[in-house]
Amino acid sequence: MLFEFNDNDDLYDLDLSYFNLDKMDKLDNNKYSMNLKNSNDLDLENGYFLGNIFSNIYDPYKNYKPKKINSYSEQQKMLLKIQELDFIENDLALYLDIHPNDTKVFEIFKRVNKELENLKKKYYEKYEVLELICDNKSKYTWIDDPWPWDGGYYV
Amino acid sequence: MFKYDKKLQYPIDIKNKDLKMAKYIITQFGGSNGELSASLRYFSQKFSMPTEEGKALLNDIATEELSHQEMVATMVNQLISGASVKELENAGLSGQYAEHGYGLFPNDVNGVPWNASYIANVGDPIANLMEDMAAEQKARVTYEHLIDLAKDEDVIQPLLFLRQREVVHFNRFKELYEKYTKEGYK
Repeated sequence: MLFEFNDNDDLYDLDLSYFNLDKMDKLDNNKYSMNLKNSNDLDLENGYFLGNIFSNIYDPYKNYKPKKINSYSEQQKMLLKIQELDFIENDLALYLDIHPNDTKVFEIFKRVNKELENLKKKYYEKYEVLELICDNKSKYTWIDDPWPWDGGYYV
Repeated sequence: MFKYDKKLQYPIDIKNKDLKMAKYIITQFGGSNGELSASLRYFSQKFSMPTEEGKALLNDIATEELSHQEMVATMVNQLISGASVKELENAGLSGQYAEHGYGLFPNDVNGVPWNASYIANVGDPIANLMEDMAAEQKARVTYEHLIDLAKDEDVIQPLLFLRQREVVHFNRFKELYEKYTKEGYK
């Protein structure tokens, strides 16, 4: 797992293996076409902390090992998951920009987007807004600290 | 148009002050191979891309680079947080302090301000994409130098992430370059 969870974490149970390619392989291959040489070229589970979800072009530097990001509060975990899904969406989009007919990757893209939307909605309701359009509570909270560059937010 | 998302692309939380590292990393904020150069290069070039694929890719990478500019600035800001004037002076940042105080300014590691000549746009998709591929490689190498100089995991991890993004962008530009070459663009 990319992120470490407390045992009592029952706030949400999003499991990235939902997006893994074992499941994707069960998609009807006659229905979807894929430009990538094989399904293992997509690493949705580790891609975020590697900075690259495409194993076929992943390029490590020396012996440096990208590490898991630890988070301890429920809010941090949820925000990290949003950041992770947002990253996956972006990396898939750059690929789809030049392979728009890869219907299999597009199918994955749609599932990630749906999950991201759901999670953002939950996060706004429980914590804070990340987008101006979502600031619909009883008072204006967009200005509230912390701003992303403030730090001291992750443990 | 652009809309702001109140989060970083990758979390940054540097707990230990390191003024020398701040002095080096600022180059990715305002140096020739930095994120501002990258973002404006692709943003300028997107208008003369000949196909949907090219317009989309240049637009989307330009946007991502701007979020990297924010990450780099966040790193520098946290690395100098709480530093005294004396400490800045000892780290060779007295000139920086005299002109900008604790404010961030896009300059390179030697204090040379950002300059539009760092980017190119000749209006030709093949020449521009070749420029973009070289730019991504130069940015990758710069991040490698910064990783070599860094000791703190809080600094190394986001640098590794940013370096890998250059690898991805290089490969996407290369794919588009090869596609255009096959399609007969010169």
